[in-house]
Amino acid sequence: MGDFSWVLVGLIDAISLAVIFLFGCIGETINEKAGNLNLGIPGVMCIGAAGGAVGALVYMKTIYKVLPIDIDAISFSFGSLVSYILLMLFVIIFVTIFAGLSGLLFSFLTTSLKANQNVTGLALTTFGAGFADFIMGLIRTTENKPLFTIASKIIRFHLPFNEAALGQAGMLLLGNGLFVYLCFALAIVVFLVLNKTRIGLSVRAIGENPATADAAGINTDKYKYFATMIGCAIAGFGGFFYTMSHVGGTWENSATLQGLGWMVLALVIFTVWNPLLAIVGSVIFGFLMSLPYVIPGIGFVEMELIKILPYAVTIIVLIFTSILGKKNVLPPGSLGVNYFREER
Amino acid sequence: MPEKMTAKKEKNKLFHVEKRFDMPLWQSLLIRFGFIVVALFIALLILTISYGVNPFAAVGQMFIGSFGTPKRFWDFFRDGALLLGVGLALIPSFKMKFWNLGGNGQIIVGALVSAILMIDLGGKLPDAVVLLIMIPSSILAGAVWAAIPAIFKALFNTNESLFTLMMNYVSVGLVNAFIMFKYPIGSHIIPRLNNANFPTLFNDSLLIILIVLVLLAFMVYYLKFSKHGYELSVVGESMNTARYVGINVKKVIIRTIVVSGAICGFIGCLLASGVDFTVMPTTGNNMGFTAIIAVWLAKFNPIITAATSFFIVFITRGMTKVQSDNNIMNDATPNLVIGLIYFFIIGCEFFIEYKLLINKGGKEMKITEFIKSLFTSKVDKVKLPPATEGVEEEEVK
Amino acid sequence: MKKTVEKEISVRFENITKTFGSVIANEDITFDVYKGEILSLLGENGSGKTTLMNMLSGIYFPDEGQIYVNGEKVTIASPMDAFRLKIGMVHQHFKLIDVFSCLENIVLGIKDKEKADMRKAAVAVNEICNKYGFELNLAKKVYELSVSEKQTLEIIKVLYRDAEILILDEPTAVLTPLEIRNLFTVLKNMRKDGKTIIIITHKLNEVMEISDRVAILRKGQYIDTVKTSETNENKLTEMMVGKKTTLNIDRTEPVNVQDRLLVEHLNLRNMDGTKVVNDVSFIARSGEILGIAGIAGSGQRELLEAIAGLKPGYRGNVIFNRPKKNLPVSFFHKTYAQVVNMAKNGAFHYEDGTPVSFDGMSPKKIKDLVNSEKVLFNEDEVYNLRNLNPRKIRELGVRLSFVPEDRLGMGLVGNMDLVDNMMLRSYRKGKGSKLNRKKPEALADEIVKELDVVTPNIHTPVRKLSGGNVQKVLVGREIASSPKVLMAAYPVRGLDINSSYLIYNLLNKEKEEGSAVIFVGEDLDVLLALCDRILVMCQGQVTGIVDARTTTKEEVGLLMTSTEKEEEVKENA
Repeated sequence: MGDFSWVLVGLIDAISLAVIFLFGCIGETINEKAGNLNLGIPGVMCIGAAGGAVGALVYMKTIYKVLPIDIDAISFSFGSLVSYILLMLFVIIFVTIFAGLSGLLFSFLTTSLKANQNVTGLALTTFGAGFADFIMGLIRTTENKPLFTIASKIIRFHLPFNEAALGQAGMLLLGNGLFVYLCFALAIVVFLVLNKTRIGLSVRAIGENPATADAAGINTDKYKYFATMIGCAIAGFGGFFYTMSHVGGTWENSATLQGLGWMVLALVIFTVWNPLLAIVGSVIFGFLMSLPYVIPGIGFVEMELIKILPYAVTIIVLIFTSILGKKNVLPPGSLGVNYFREER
Repeated sequence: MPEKMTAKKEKNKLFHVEKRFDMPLWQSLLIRFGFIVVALFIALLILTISYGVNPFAAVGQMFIGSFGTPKRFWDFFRDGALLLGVGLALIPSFKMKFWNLGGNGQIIVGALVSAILMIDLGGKLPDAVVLLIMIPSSILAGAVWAAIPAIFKALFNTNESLFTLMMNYVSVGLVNAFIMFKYPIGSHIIPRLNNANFPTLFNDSLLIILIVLVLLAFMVYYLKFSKHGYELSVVGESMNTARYVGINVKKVIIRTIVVSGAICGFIGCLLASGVDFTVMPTTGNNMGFTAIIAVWLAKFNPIITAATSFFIVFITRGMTKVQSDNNIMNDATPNLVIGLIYFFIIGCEFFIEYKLLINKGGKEMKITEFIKSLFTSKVDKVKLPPATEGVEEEEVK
Repeated sequence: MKKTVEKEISVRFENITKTFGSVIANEDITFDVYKGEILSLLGENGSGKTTLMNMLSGIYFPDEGQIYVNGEKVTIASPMDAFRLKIGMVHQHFKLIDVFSCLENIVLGIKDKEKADMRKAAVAVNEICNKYGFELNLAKKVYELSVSEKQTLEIIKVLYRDAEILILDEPTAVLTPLEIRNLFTVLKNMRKDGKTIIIITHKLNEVMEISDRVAILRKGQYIDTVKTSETNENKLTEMMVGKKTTLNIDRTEPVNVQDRLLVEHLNLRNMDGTKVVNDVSFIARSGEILGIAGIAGSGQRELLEAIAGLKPGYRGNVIFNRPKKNLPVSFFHKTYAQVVNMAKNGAFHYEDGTPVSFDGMSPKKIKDLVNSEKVLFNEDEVYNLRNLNPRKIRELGVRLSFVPEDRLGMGLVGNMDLVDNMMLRSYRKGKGSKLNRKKPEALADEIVKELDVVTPNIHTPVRKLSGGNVQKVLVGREIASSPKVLMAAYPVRGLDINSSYLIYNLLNKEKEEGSAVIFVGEDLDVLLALCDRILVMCQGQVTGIVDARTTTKEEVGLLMTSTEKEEEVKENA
C-alpha cells in the first residue's frame, strides 16, 4: 500500500474550493428550481466578490481603525469580538446587496420584460466580470491592498485549535473559517426550505409548471423575483469566499472566478438540483480540482486530464438522467422558459 | 351600480402586457438605437465619475480605437468578421431552437486540431498540403464536437444547452492537456507556429474577411433558399408541422448542428493558423458566447448579424482605446460597457415585442407612445391599431 | 322554468352573456342550481357549457349579467375568488404538477398556514377520502397515477379547499365503466353531504343515471332545465340538437363512385396507453363526402392522423386504391431498371395513347420525360399505407391531403409567409438543394385570388391573418395537389358564415372532381346537409354509418352518445 496522506491534503484544499462551489450551486439551484436557467451565475459570483471586497474595505477603513483585531493573538478581547462580528455583518450585507441586485436585474429582464434567459444570463456574466474587475481596479489601490490581506485573515480566522493535538483530519473538520460552516449549514437549510415548506413547494411548482401554479393562486412573478434575488445573493457569497478567503484577499482578474462559476452550472446538474447532494458534489468537485496538485509525482498531462473529469462526469449524469427519464432527477419542467400568462 | 359592476373586471393590476406584431421596422430600429445611446451615455458617465474621462473626447477615442490606424482598421474588420463567422455558425441551430452554447468548444477543438497538424506536419510536408489536410480536419473536429450533444438531443432529448456548455470545458481541458504533452517544460506556451500558416492576401486580415463574406453569402443562401434551411426553420417553428409534412426531425437536428459545428471548427482553424498562430485555452476569446448575443439581437438574420457583430467589436475595441488613452489601469472597461449595452438592448426588445398597457383609474391605455415621446417627439404621429379588440378576453384568461 | 319553493338556491346565473371577439359563447343565460343536487349541464360541443362554468370558477369574467351564490351578488374575478366562495372546478385538462406527490398537489397554493401544513393535511385528506370513498395513495407522485387517479386527486383538491359547489367538466370522458361507477358513488355520497354538484356532459345515459335535474344549452343559448325523472333520452336529444335547420349547401349526387380508401380494424393507443381508436373500419369512396360525427375527443382526430401517417405504431390496415384513370407517372420509389421493365410490359403510354418505350434512353432522359408529366400509366395499384410517414405516402404517389384541426400548430407555420407555407408539401420537388419558390408563389397568388384571402400580400406571415383566411390558405394548399383523398378535421371551426360556405363549396368541388372527401364536423346540421354518408364515432368506436340524406339529427345524436348500439347499425351503409 502506498502513502495516501495526500488524500487528506487534497481534501483540506478541496474544502476551500467546495465552499465556493457550494454557495454558487445552492444559489443556482434556487434559480433553476424556480424555472430560471441563470447562465449569469459566473457574473453574479464576480459581482458578489466585488461586493465582499467593498464591504471589507469599508470595515477596514472605519470599524477596524477603532477596534483592531490582533489575528495572531491567542486570546480574543471583547472589542475584537465585536469587531469580528461587525466585519461579518458588513460583508454579508454588501455581498447580499450587490449580488441580490444582480438577481433583481436578471429577473426584471426575464420575468417582467420576458427577455430570453440564455441571452440575459450571458450578458450578466459579461457584465458581472467587467463590473468586478472595474470595482476591484478602483478600490485595490496600492495603499488599500494590505487592508484586504488583513481582512482576509480575519475572515479566515478559525478557533485556535492546535494542529498537533487534532491532527490533519481534525483540522479538516474544525480548522475552517466561519463561512465554511455557514455554507454547509445553508445547504441544509435551503434543502429543507425547498422540500419541506410551503414556500419551497410554491417555488418548485413554478419551476415545473407555472401555469398550474398560477391557477392554484400562486403569484408566479413575485416568487420568481424573490427566488432569483435570494439565489443570486447566495451565489454571490461564492465569489466573496473566493477572493476574500480562498486566494487570501487578492484579485488578479475575474477569469479564474468565472471559470469556477461555469463549473457551478455543471455541479447543479451533477447534483440533480438537490442542495444536500450538492454538499457531497461540491466536495467531490473541489477534490477533483485540487487532485492534480496533490497526487505525488503526477504528470502534467494527467493533471490536465483530471481537470476535465468534473465536466465529463456531469455530461454522463446529464445523459443518464435523460435516458432513464426518471422524472424526479430531470431538470425542472419549465427550466429556461419564461411564463407569459396570456400565451396559451 | 349592479349593471356597471360587471365592467369592473380584474383590473386591479397596474400593468397589463400583451403581444404585438405590428411595429414597423424603422420604429423598432429607432427604439434600439435610442436604448444604445442611453446605455453608452450611462457608461461614459460612470467613466467620467470614476476616472474623470471626458465623455466627448471618449466618443472620438472610440472611433480612433477602431479605425485610427491602418492596422486598427484591418484588425477591426478581421475581429468583426470572425465574430460574424461564429454568429453565422450559430444561426442555423438557434433558428431550429437548439440552444447551442458550445460555440467556444467547437472553435477550440477546430483550433486544436489545426495546431496539432501545424506542429506535427508543418515543415515535414509542403505548407499547401498541410493546409489541405488541416482545413477539413478542423471542420470535421468541430462537426463531431457539435454532433455529440445533437445526437443525444435527437435520441433522448438530453438538454442541449447544458450539454454543449459542458463540452466547452472539456475542449479547454484537451487543449491544456495537449500543451502539457507537447511542451512539458518551461512556461507551457506554444511558441508561434511558423509553418503551414493560413495564406494571406495583401495583409493578415483581408483573406479572412473575404472568406467570412463568402460564408455570409452561403448562409443567406442556406437559410433562405435551400431545402435544408427550409426544413430546419420548420422544425424550429413547429415540430408538429414538421412531422405533418414528413420531415425526419431527428435527422434535421443532427444535420443542422453538424453544420453549426463545422463552421465553428473552421473558424477555429482560421484562428489557429491565421490569427493567433497557436492554440490556447482561451482561443476564440469566448466568441461562442458573444456571438449568441450578436445573433439574438439580430433575430437570427445573417445580414443583421454582420451589423451587430461589428457593433460589438467596435464597442470593445473603442473602449479599450478609451481606457488606454485615459490611463485607466483597469482593463475591465470594455466588458463593463458592453455588458451594460447588452442589458439595455435586451430590455428594449420588450418594448418592441409587447404592448404595455397601463391601468389608470380603471381605464387601460397604451404607454408605448408616451415612453417613446420621451426620446423623440417625432413619433407622435405613429398610429397604432386600436388595442381594445381582444383585450377583454385575454386579460381574464 | 320550474322553481321549487322548498329548495335552497345555491347558484343563480342571471342574464349571463360572454363573447369572444365576434363569437357569442353564452347569450343571456338565466337559471338556478339548487343546494344539494346533482345538475347535469348538457349540450353539444361549442354550446357554451364550459365557458359558462369557467365564469363560475373565475377563469373568465362575464361581459354582462350577474352571478349569485347562496343568494348574494358576487364578483368572481379570479380562481382565488372562486375558492373563497367555496366553488371548485375539476377541469378536463388536469392542472397538476407531475413530479409532486398527491399531497403536495393538494396543498399547493393554499395560503392558510394550518391547512398547508403537510402533516395535518395528510390527516384531513384521509378523512375526506374515507368520508366519500376515495382510494388514493397520497405519497404517490402524479406521474405514477392513472388517469382516473388524477381525476380523483383533482376532486380531493377541490374538496380540501372546502368547496361546497363542485363543477366537473366531462368527468367521465377519460374513465372506464368501472371507474365511472366508482365516481358516481362518490358523487352521490357528496350529494348526501349537502354539496352542490354540476356535471358538464353530453352522455345521455349518464345524465339519466346520476343527475337530479338537467340544464340544456344549445349554441350558446339556454334552452330549459328539466327534472331527470320527468324526461327521457329522446326528449333530451331533441333539446340538445334542436330542430333541423335547413342550410343552403348544394349537394350533388355522387358520380363515378369507387372505393378509394379502405380502413380495416384500425386500433390506436395514445401515449399513456389508453385506447383512442378502437377497431375502426370503413370505406371512403371517390365522389363522395364521408362525414365523421362524434363528440369532440371520440377519436376522430387520432383516426385522421393515423391515416395521414402521423401516428406510427397503430394496428390495422389503411388500403389506398389508386384510381384506374390515367395518371402522370412518378417514380420516387422505383429504380430505373424497374421503370424500363414496366415500360417493356406496356405499363405506360403518352397522352394520345401510344405506348411508351424507354429502351435505350439515358436515366436522365427518362427522368425528364417523367417529370414533364406527359407519360401516363393506367395501372391499378393498391397500397397499404399502414405506418408509412407522410413523406413516404407522397413518395408512393398517393395524393392524400389532410387539413388538420390545429391549423397554425400543425397545418401551417405561423411565422412563415404564404409562399413558404405553400412549399410545406412540395419543397422537396426539383433537383438539387435549392428551393424553388416560383411555383409556390404562383400557387399563393392563385389561392389569394381564387379564395379571396384577405392579406396585405403573399409575403405576410400567416399568423397575422384572421382565422378564416388562415383556413383558406390551408385548405387551398391541400386541394392544390388535386388529392385523391381529402381529409378535413373541423375545417369551419371558428369561421364566420361566409368563410364556412366557401369551405363547404371547396369540399363539394373536390367531391365532384372525384376525390374521396372525409369531413370531421361538429355541427350536425352541416353534416346532414353536406355529406353523403355519416360515420358516427363514440369513445373511439364506430357506432354507426348512416345515409346523410335519410337520417335525422336525433338518430345521429343518439349514436354519438351511445356505446352499446354499434352492432345493430354497423351495416346500415
